[in-house]
Amino acid sequence: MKKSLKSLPPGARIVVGIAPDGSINSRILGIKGSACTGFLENLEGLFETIEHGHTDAYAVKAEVATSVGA
Amino acid sequence: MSKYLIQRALPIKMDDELALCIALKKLGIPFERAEAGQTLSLYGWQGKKRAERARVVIRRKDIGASANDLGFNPQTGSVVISEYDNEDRPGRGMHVLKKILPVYATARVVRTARAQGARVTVKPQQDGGYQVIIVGAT
Repeated sequence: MKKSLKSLPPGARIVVGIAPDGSINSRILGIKGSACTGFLENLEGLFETIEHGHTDAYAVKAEVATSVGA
Repeated sequence: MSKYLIQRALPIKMDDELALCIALKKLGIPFERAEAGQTLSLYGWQGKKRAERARVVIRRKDIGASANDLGFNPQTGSVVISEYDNEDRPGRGMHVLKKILPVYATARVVRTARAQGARVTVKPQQDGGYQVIIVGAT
């Protein structure tokens, strides 16, 4: 069941990576297990393909780059 | 005369007219938007009016000397692009479309998240991509 993005709990965040070629992926951080369920589904209708939670995902690379000040 | 194609094989559904207009403005690409319930004619590279129509149009003069008009029909999520322009080379429609895609996608995600009351931060990346961070209202 979809959960509103407004109700993401404190400390949780969704990181959406949009690559220059238009490919997209998303990852939910800061919460685990069943607490994650229902949030990323809000983004699924927007794109033809979206990958969630892959360790090699653009979103994660971008987040790492940002966190080290790249 | 280059035949027009209906392009739907894009990573993003081009179904949000407002997000599209936001992206075009942000990129500084001139465009025409039809009045509510209307569509605009498309013109080929020789200036001939074509049968195809679209809600939002980038005119050929703003794409390249030999380009045809590029049209968007968000109501069907489709892009109307000529065979000639359907190639990612400078001066062709696909080259412009490729620039639009990540900016449009960002606007689309931001609009969706804000509509649900979430807070959003956009971080442009050095390689031309974007990172959108969504947090709850609290």
